[in-house]
Amino acid sequence: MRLKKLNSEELIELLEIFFAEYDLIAPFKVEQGRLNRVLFRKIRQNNEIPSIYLKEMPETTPKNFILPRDERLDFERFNSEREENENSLARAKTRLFFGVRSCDLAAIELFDDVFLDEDYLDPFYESRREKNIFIGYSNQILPPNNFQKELEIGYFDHQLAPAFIYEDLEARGREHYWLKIKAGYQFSKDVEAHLDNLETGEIGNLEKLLNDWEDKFTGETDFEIKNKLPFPEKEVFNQVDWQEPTASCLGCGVCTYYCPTCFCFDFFWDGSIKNRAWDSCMFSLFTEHASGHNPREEQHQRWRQRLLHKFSYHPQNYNDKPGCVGCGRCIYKCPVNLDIRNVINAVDKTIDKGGQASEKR
Amino acid sequence: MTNSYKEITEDLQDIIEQIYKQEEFDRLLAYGRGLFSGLIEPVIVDKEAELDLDRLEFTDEAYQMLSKYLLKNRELKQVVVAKPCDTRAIAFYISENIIARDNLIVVGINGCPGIKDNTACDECDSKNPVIADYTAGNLMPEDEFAKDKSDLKYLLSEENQVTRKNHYTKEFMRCTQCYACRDACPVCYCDHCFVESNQPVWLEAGSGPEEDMVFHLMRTMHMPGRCVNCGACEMACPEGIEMRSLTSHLYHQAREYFDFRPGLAVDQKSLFSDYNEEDPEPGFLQQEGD
Repeated sequence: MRLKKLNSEELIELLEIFFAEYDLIAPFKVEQGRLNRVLFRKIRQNNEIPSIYLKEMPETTPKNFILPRDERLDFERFNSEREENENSLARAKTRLFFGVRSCDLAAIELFDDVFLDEDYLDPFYESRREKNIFIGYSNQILPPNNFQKELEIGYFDHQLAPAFIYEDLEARGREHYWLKIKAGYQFSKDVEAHLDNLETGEIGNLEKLLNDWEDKFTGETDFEIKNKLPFPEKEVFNQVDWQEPTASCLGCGVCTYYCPTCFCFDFFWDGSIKNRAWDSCMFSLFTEHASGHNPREEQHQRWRQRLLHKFSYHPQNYNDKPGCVGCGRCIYKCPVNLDIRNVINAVDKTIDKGGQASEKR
Repeated sequence: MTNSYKEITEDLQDIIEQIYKQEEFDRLLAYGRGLFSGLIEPVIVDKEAELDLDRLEFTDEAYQMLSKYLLKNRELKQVVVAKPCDTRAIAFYISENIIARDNLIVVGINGCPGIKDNTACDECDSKNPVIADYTAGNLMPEDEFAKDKSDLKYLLSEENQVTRKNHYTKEFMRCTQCYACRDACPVCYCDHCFVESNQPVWLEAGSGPEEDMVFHLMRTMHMPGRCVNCGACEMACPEGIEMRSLTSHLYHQAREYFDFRPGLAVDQKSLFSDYNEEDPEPGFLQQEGD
C-alpha cells in the first residue's frame, strides 16, 4: 500500500494526468432551478478540472453510467460488434470515476452480484462494466441521513476502488488530501511517474484522522437495526403495520430513481428494437396486469415490496447482503421527506414483539 | 404582518390539544419533525394512536400540501393543518363535490409567513385561510398582501416562440418522469391520469424530449381554473425544473381576464362552467401582433 500527501494544486495536476489518460468522470456542483445539486459528469476539457466539487455527496452515482436510464438493447448489432472486436461494445478508453463514496461502490458490487451472475449474465451491463476504475472519496462530513454503518458498510474503503482519496477539510497544504493506493495496484506509466514525485504520507497519521472522523460519525445518528438480515418475510409480511409509516408517500418513485441500488427496469419497443428504461415499484403500473387487476393496489403494499426486496429478498438471495447501502438519498430527495428508517424501525419493532404487532389491517 | 413560525407552532399545539378533547374525528394531518432525519414531514395519525403534541411544528420547511392527503381517505373525518393555499385547494374540493365539508376539521394558518425556496409565496394572494374551523396566528389585513400582480411575467412572454420552445425543451430534458409534480399537486386528483393510461397510450415509455414536452404541456392544459398557485409542483421536483411558470401564467391570465381565482369559496363556480357575455376572448387562436 502506498500513501501520498497532496495539496490542492497537486490534486489538480494529478487529475489533469488522469484526464489525459482516461475518460474522467467526476462530481460538479450545478444550480438547477431552486436546487443546488452535485452531479457526476464526464469531463470534456482540462479547464473544467478545478471546478470538480467533492465536499458534498453527489446526488447521482456511477449507476447513471453503468445502468443508464434508457438503453437500446440492439442484440443484432451488439453480437456482430462483439464478434468483430472480440470484446463487445467496450470503450477504447478506460473510464475513471473520481470521488465515489464507499456506499456507492458497495452499490456497484451489488449490481455485479445481480447482473454478472453467470446463470443470468446481462451482456449489456457487462460491456458497460468493463474498463472502469473507481477512486473512492471521503471527508469528515457524514452525508445527510446516511446510515451505511448500520448496514456494515465502512466509510473509508471498498474493494472495488484501487485507490481512495481523503480530504481533510480543516487542514491546508499537503495535509489537505491523502491518496491511498492499494498494494500491488499500478496506474498507467504517466500516472505512476507523477505519483513518484509526490510526498509520501505516514499511515499512522491517516489512521488517526480516519478514526477521529468515524467517532464523530457514530455520535451523529441514533438509528439502529436490531434484527439480523434478512428480515423474516413470513413474520413481517402481514404483521407489520405498513400503512402508518408510509402514509405520506405520494408514489412518485423519486426514492428509486436516485437510489444507487435500485435496478428494476421495464422493456418497451422502439420499432423492432427492444429498449429498457428504469422502472419503479412505487408506481401503480409496475404490477398492473393486462386484465386490469393489480396485486399491489395500494401504496403501502408497494412500500412493503420495496422494503422487503432490500431487507429480506435480496439478502436471502445474496449471502445476507442487504439490497440497500444506507446512502440516505431516498430520504433527502423524497418530496415529502418520508424516511425509510421509520419503516425499517416499524419492521424491527414488530420482529422484537414476535410478530404480534398490528392485527388491525 | 405575518405571524412567526413559533407563534403558529404554539397556537397549533394548543388547538390540536383542544380538538383531541372536544372533537370526534378519525385522523389527524399535521407537520412534525422526522424522528431520525430531523426534516419536516407530514404527520398522519389515527386518533387512537399515540401522539406527542410537542412533535408537531410549523416551520418555513413545511412545504408539503397536506390537503392532498385528504383525498386518500375521503370517508374519514379528518383534522387537517392547512396553509392558506391548502385551504384554497380544500375549498376547491368542496366546490367540486370531491369531499364533504362535514368530514373536515380545518385548522387554518393565519398570516402565513411562507415557505423557504417556494417562489409562489413571493406572489401569494391569499395569506389567510379561505375556510377554517380553527385558526392559528393572527389574521393579516388583506391590503397587506393584495398587491398588484400586473408586472409578473411568465412563459418568457417577452420572447418569441422559438426562444420559448428552446427554453422549455432544455428545462424538461432533466425530467425523469417521476411525476412528483403531479403527485404533490393538491388539485391533480383524477382517478386515472393520462400518464398511466395505456389504452390509449398518451405517453410513450422511455424518456425523450417529445415525451417530456407532452407530459408537461398536457399537465399544464389541465390546470387553468384549478391551479391555486401554491408552488407544490416545483417544490416536489427532484430535478429543480421550473414548471410553475406554465401554470402560474394561466393562473394570472384567468385572474386578469375573468377575475377568477380557484378555491376562493366552497360554492364557487368553476372557470369553465361560468360564462358572462362581457367576458374577453383572448384565445390562443389570436395571431401575434393582433
